[in-house]
Amino acid sequence: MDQLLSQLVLGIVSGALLVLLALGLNLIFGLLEFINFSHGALYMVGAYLTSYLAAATGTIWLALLVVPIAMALIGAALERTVIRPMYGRDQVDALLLTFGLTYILIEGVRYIAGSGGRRVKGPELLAFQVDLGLGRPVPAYLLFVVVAVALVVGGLWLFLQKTNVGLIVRAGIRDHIMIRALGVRFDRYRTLVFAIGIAVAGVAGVLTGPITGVYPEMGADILILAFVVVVVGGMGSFWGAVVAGLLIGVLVSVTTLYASVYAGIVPFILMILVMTFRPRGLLGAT
Amino acid sequence: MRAKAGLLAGAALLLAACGGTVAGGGGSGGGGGGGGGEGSTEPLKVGVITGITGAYVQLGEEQRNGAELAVKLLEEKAGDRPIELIVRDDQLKPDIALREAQALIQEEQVDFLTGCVSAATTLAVNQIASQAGVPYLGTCQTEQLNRPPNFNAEVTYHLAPTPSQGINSAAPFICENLGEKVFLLLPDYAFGHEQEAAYTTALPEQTGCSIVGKAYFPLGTTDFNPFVPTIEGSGANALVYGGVGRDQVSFLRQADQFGLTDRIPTFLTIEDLSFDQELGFDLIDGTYAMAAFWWNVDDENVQTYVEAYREEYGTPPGGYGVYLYNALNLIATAVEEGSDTPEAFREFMEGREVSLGQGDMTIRECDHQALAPIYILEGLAADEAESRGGDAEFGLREVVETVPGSEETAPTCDEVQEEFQRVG
Amino acid sequence: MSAAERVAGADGAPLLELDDVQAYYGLAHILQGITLTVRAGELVALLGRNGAGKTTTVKSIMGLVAVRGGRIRCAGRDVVGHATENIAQFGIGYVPEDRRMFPGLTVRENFRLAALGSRAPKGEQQAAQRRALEVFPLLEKHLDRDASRLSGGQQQMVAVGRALIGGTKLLLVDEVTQGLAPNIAHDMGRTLRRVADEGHGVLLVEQNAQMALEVADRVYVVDQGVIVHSGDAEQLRADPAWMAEHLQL
Repeated sequence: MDQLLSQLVLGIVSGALLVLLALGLNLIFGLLEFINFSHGALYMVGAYLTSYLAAATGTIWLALLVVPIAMALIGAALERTVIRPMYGRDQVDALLLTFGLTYILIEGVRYIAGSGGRRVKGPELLAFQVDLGLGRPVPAYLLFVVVAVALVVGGLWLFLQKTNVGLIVRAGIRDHIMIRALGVRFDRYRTLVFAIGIAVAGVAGVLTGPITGVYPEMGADILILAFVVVVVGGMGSFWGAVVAGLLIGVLVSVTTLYASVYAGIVPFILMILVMTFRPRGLLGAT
Repeated sequence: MRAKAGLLAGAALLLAACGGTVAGGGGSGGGGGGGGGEGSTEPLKVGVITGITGAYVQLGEEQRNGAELAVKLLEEKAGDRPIELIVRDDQLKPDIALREAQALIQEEQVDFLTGCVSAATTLAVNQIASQAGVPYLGTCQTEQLNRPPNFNAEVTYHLAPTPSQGINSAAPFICENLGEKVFLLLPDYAFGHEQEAAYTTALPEQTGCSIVGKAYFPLGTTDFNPFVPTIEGSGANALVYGGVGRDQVSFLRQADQFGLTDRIPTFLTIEDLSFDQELGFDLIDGTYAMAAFWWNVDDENVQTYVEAYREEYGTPPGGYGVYLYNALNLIATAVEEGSDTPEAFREFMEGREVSLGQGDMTIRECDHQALAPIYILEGLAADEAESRGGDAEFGLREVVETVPGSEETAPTCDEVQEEFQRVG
Repeated sequence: MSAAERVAGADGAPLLELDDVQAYYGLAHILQGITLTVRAGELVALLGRNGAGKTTTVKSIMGLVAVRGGRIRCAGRDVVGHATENIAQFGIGYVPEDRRMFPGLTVRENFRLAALGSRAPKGEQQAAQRRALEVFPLLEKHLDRDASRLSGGQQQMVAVGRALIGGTKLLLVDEVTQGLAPNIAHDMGRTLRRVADEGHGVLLVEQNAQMALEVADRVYVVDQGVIVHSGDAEQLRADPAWMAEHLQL
């Protein structure tokens, strides 16, 4: 039983990072109406920025502040330059564009930082373990990741629910023609939402660094899982992404305990089940 | 909404299609004639097929470096014949390896084939080489290359150790020095399963030693946290980790956060300097590993290779370039001595004793397996590196035991013969 | 200053002028020369069969359909070629066909959104939201409900209410009575009449000609993309033959 609980806690950690990527993907998909294929690659760029900042300052604290801002600026610049011309065209165009962008980013990072990975040292402050009463202690840093993700998710939710900008974004996700007809300058919110989505991916990049290290292809695998989370949770559903991310994290973790070989396919089995029996996703709107 | 769903399906297709394919092997046009006879001055063409993109990119790049270094040190000549090296990327995929091998044989008309970092691609290349009668010198750790039905005595050679060769060499050390209750954490593909078979045989042969648990993880796993409670719950006092490359880096990083490697001594089936560098001293400290090559081994021939490599590429070599360095040296020597046909090359290789980049090595006759030393390495802390590893930057490990290459550690020739007869 | 003066153009010039407007959907020539005017304080009905070009006329004013010929002026300014969000800024409130509530947004949020779209100072935004509630006091008690889950009539109130927020001079109302019970449709008609009486220009696109004729000042009939008839509503109401001929009543 203790072991199962430990797996549960560790599954939540894994799921938490997935949630961050899925939320950004979902938000961008909702408002900009295309699948941002470069999401994983931008997450990787955020992780690399972290690795350099952490190497320079000796800790990730500064990166946790600076990298999301830098990624937001990169996101805004990308939206204003290469993505904007895709609006009004076939959605596949934007998909292909970001697909190409992905490889430019990966190869660019390989060129600058080399094909091998880089290390990111976790904060000294959290280099201890916490006994949660599960029989085995859990590294404090992992718990910090869960708390940090919870704060980002909560902040994002409050931003969407309580602010004027959030209101415009929520409405724009539902109907961007009507929101224009009400006089809202929609274009700038597309830029903003893309920037926010990329900034959140940047946060995930910062938090991941000390767990897995950073390497050029790190975005590819997790992007697939993030897509699965979006589909399972329900496209456009905020809490759907959160619930599905945690669920997939926990399922993978628990499967690892009993049949580790199959852990990798569990998310995809879940996706097939959801698509068959509940195509709108766990919490998706009809 | 329907358009959105369609879009998502499109994305999924793209994702499925994209699994890490950027660079492809560029093919140059068809080239000159076949293998020239004795005294020929035709170029000696050697095809290298290795993973230059994909998960083990450092290893593939290092193999290319090792081959290019050997050619450079040979002054680009084997006797009177200029050596032409043609390097192709297999992306770690058997189908691409197959295609590249065909292209090298048919279009480039290579005289020899070598290279590989993944067992999956080596069998594909061997198959094509076997059909065409072009000698192939495999350079990745696999049990299958020189076993039936893959082994073709006319063309197949294996320069890397088999997993069981390394594991048989390391088993006494693991049980005597690390712990007697061993947990195996292995990658879920051929190489991992070969390891399981070898450890399951070798460890219980040691007095008091047993395997208390095992788990497989999919290739490319980045999240190893869920494995930690399983390992600790098994009551193991030694852990064997069989993953390579990125998997290994992720695992050791996460194990370190749990303090797992402090509590349970961890032994790595595979280590490579490039991964060690990424891990750094703090994660490596307290781990053990075995290797067929380590850069500061005290051996004249090893050091010749290491010094040349450092001069050329700025860092000491990891463990994978040496096989290609050896392969090119063996091929060049054979050709120089006039053994440039597959038959003559076979005669040259069988039973050959040489001292190259791995130190003393024998290519035994029965299965063309190279028998070279296996080194047991201890990971060092940063402050020990200079005194024990000899180098503050690259002295990440120290050789604590050398197990010479021996007939006993690989499956013996008798066992191999038995297997060949059983298959017929 | 009276309500009509506040809203009307400077010299009583038409709030909305369409002059020979041409528009296409792909290759289909939908609007083949629409000419009409709406003045401040006037409720003008645009009638016609399904597919005659009524909705396309409204969409072309809002910049939602590309206009390929002719002119559209709102309060003396050319609107053709402007983005929808800027056309809305000229003082046009748009009540689209099928209402287009934002699912999940409350009535209050719908109004807040319209106020934000007006880009007016905060105080004015709140005043505008209060005025919308004065027009539809019934919505007061539903302010915090999901607007997309209200009844059809209530949703129409939200749609008209939010279109009125934000310096709106001209209201474009597309098929507001569609799917409504007759008495509710007539209530809505009377409310729009009142809105016009307060000085707004209202262009009412309707299939429900009876209701439209009851409240309108003037009527245009569109067929196959051209205005085939126009006239005074009061006269037409008294002409059953005309109604039978043009509206198939």
